[in-house]
Amino acid sequence: MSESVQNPTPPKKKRGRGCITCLLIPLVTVLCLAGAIFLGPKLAGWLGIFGMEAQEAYEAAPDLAASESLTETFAELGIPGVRVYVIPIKGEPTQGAFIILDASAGYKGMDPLNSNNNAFLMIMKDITARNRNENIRLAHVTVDYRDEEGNTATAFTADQDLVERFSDGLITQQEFFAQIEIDVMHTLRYLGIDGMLEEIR
Amino acid sequence: MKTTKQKFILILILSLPILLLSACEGSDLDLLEMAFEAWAEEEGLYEDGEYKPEHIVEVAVGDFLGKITNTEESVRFDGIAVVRDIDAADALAKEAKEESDEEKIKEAIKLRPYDWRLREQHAALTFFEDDMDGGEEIMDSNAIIKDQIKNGADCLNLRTQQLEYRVELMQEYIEIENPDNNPGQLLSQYEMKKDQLSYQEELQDIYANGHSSYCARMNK
Repeated sequence: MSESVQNPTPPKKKRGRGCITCLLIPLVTVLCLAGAIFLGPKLAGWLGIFGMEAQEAYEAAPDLAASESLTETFAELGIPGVRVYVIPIKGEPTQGAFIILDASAGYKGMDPLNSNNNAFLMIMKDITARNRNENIRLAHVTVDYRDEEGNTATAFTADQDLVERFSDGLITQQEFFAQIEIDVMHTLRYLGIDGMLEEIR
Repeated sequence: MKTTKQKFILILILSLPILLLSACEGSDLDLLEMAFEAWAEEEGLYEDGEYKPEHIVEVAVGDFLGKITNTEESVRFDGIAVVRDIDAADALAKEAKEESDEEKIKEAIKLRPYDWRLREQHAALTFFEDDMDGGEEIMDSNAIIKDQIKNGADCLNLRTQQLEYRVELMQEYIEIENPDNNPGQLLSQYEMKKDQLSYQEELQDIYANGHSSYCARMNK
């Protein structure tokens, strides 16, 4: 028996599996994240987990009679540059009122004649009265403040129930404002201080 | 510990919207200031006379999540963009009528497919320009209205609005001068007058008796 010395076969070079895995993991993670961000809300919307998109919720034509009536609230008080859109909410028996206070269309404040009356309260009272008398069925009032270029500077929204409690004198103006919602993200973007927020974080 | 810069940023956040609304005067400035302060206190941004700028991040994150999950408030704010779409579609419809450009009204419908007013505009334009065609577009408007009524909208109110809108729109086309005496358009105007009369009769019935034959059929 002769011992023959075999030339050891050179070890196979390991294929760069590690590298492929390294590439795959982030790729799959990115795809999952993208899916979750872009498709997740839509999927959840279809399943009824998340709410409808605004385009769907307000897809119907504005209620012309109600829009005209609420626009009159401002016209009768001599406030120019205001348009009101009352839009039915899909799947609900109620409607949303969008009040556009537009400086680019001549809006100069709720009390342009400086009458020192509480114009805001008068407006809320009038909206409440019209809502009740004309059966407008408002669910919310959303106010859009536009600047002289017509860009939205800030916006807030309040449930109609809150508007009515304020109009009926059940809560003060301070309590009313404490319960409204302000579009913080948009206001911050308008001010261009996203970057500054990053610094706070 | 809050830095001066952080305090400055918070003051900026709370006061700049007011300052930037240069068009607003007197009462509006006071009102907005009060609104932002009350809101800031409620959101925990201002407590016991002290600014808490770190809470703005929580508010911003909450807002961001709201946008993703379409909370009621976020949908309402996004509704402001829908109002801009309505304005854009209406402007296109106006141009379509002025320039007799069907493509523009189609563009408007693409922007707001479930707005029955745009279907009415399309129908009137097609009827006037295309030798009394336009039946299909009227059917589209009717189908949208019918759908809304099935989903709980008030039939009498919606039908009244549709008829008033249609009658007014027809009147605008009837009043268009036709210096070349285009026979197709003259005939369209004549037919529109006839149709307008029948719609006006239905409207009179609604005004006088609160009754609409259309809604009576719908309720059967």
